[in-house]
Amino acid sequence: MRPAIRLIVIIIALGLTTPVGVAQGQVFTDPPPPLMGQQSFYLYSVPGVVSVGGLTTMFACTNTTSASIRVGLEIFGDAGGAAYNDPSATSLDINAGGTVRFAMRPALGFGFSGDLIAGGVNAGSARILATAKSGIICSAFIADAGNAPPTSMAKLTVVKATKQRGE
Amino acid sequence: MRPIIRLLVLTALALAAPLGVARAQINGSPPPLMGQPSYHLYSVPIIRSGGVEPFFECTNTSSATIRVGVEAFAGPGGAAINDPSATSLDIPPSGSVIFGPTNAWVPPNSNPGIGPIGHGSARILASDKKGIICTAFLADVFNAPPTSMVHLNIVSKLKQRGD
Repeated sequence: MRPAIRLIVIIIALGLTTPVGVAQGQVFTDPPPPLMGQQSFYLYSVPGVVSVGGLTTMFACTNTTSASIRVGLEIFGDAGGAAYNDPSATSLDINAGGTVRFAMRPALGFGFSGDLIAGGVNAGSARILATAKSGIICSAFIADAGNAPPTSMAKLTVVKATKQRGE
Repeated sequence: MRPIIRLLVLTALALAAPLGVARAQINGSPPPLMGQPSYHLYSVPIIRSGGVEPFFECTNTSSATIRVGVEAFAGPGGAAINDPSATSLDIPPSGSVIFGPTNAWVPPNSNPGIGPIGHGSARILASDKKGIICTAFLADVFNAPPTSMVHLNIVSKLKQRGD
């Protein structure tokens, strides 16, 4: 096959097998997948994600810039391997100065902007992706999902990419 | 002492120190985890009292399996009060594990065997210097969901950066 034709075939094949919104990242070490077709950057990691035993995990992210930024979360389960959810389909645009809250599942005590649709997670983790390298700040916490106000809540550590500096 | 006798003595001492038995205090050399050298990654002051116990959840962000263990120390200090090697676990790439006691709301992957110490400390050990990130919290173990929870500070090795 001539080089030019081979190149066209490869481009078409990649284009057809990489639909917008499908998660590409499989593990922490993989490049972050695009968020609704936009390149994304790996900002933070959150160990301690739980969605069992009456508990849910919430992630609140704020856009501190003057332009809209899309944010998505990838959830990984106990055994590692592929992400449990589609970070692109569940990603959200955050307006300038705006804040959104992502939830592992609905909670009586809190409204939320986006359900991560990741199913039950016993001991998991998340990585937070965004379409800008800077300008997004996040907090994460575990909360009782069945009572308002929650019977219990606990902050989770938010690590910059994969480097934990300690508190 | 002749070299051969010295060698025999050293061999006997090595055999008398079974793999994974913790002996050091919190600033001592970390013990091996199931025969693999380990590194002291994080320290966590803890409480274990009144139905509230510590939980440690760690994630492997690297592309290779890493073994992780939790070593606990009682309030008065001194040697470790549990065996971090026997209760350590391999974490696969992107995997996570919870170290903690049996409780009403989540089945832990491993119980580090921290006795009723009231208060003390723990250090998180791993067979690799990099790639492991952790969170820690106290939680009620009798109720689902827990009636109380609180985040615990994770200190890098022995140096607290301050909030």
